[in-house]
Amino acid sequence: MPTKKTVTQAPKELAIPADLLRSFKTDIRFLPVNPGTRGYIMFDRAMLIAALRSSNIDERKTMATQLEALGRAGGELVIMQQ
Amino acid sequence: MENSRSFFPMDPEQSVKDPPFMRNVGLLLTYHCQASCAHCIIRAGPDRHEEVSLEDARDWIEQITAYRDGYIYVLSLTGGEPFSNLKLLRAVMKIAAENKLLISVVTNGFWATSQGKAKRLLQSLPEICFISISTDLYHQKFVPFDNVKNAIRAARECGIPFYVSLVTDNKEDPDYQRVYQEILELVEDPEQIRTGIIFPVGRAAEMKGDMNYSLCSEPCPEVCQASSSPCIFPDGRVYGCIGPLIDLHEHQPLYLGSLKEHPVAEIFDAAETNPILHALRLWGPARVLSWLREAGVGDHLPTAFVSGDICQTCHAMLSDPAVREWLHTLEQDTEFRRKVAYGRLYHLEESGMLEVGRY
Repeated sequence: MPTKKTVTQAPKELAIPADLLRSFKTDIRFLPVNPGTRGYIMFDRAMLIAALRSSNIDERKTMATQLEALGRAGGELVIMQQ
Repeated sequence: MENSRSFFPMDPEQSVKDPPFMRNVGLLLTYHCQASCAHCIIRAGPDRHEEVSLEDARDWIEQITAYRDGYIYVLSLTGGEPFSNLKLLRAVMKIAAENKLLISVVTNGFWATSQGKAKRLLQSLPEICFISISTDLYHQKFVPFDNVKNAIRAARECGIPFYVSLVTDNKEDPDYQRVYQEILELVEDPEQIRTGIIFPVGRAAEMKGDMNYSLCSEPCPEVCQASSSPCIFPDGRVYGCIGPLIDLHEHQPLYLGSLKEHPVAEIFDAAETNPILHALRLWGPARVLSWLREAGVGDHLPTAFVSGDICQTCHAMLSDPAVREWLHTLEQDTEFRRKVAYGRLYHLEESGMLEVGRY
């Protein structure tokens, strides 16, 4: 399961203005220690494409299980935007 | 132009990552429930019969699927008790699966009167990808814990990922801890148990005096994750979060609109640029509260906070009309919107607000 970090640069037109960048760098955000009562699932691109193309319910369930296992293993997935 | 992002690891010190915005949408199927729990935020119960019409559900699901060419992946079905009307649940799940949405369901497990029956029922609902089973002292007055055990075992046997959802007014409460331990013995993995603090709204507003909250003088500093997933109610109202703010109806910044008046795309696009909603996701209600204090609105703010719970802070803060008025002015402020838009890019790697607005 790919979990390596790939550094990507925001497109030029979305570059963060320097004044805001400075403030964000010192910005402290507190993420919840406990995930709360609402669940969510995040998807790997390959899993997502396969899951969406598949009409096989068992395959979808397998993917959901894999995603859950991935989360437990410390992996997290992000969506690709075209 | 490709605005691509790739995989990134979680910080090992961090147990939870920000959920992506609006990839998961909730649909409240019904207000009906076998239980009329004292803490229920929407006052669900056996006497409630309002539910989404199949016609509306089909229309909304198709719009959800079409939104930004398949942007939304998961439809979370909740209530009330979604299994109350099995015919409706099956029909809605069929539509959602046909529209290639993955489905999660929240339930109290009343239907799991035996393990065999529970397993057969889940096997007959193959569209379910993820299930959340609610139980606690309040639910257990109406739904025997044995049913919950059967539901958990059935989900496990069917290979359906699940977690058990608990609520309490205080995690130090011995009765809560007893229930927690019973569940832990069953599921073994504490990651599969999620605990929430009871919101003092809905039916729980009537038991305010009986709450045994652990209070402190400063709000919990955590960011809001619930507002990453909007929820649709049977009458078409859409809220940015299914927390206690729904009790403020449309008089609050996380009321996103009505599907009876606007299409899904219009409401969700507006949510993408809702600066208060995203400020809560970025910095949480405690930060918003600090801005209000700095702005001299302190007299309208709560002074006691439930430990470890951001929802009570958010609700108490937004319950005051003067606060809402100040926030309404703030959300028009160009500099604030710019900060939120770029904050999303920096902290959440989300460019949606920048793509829509000009900052």
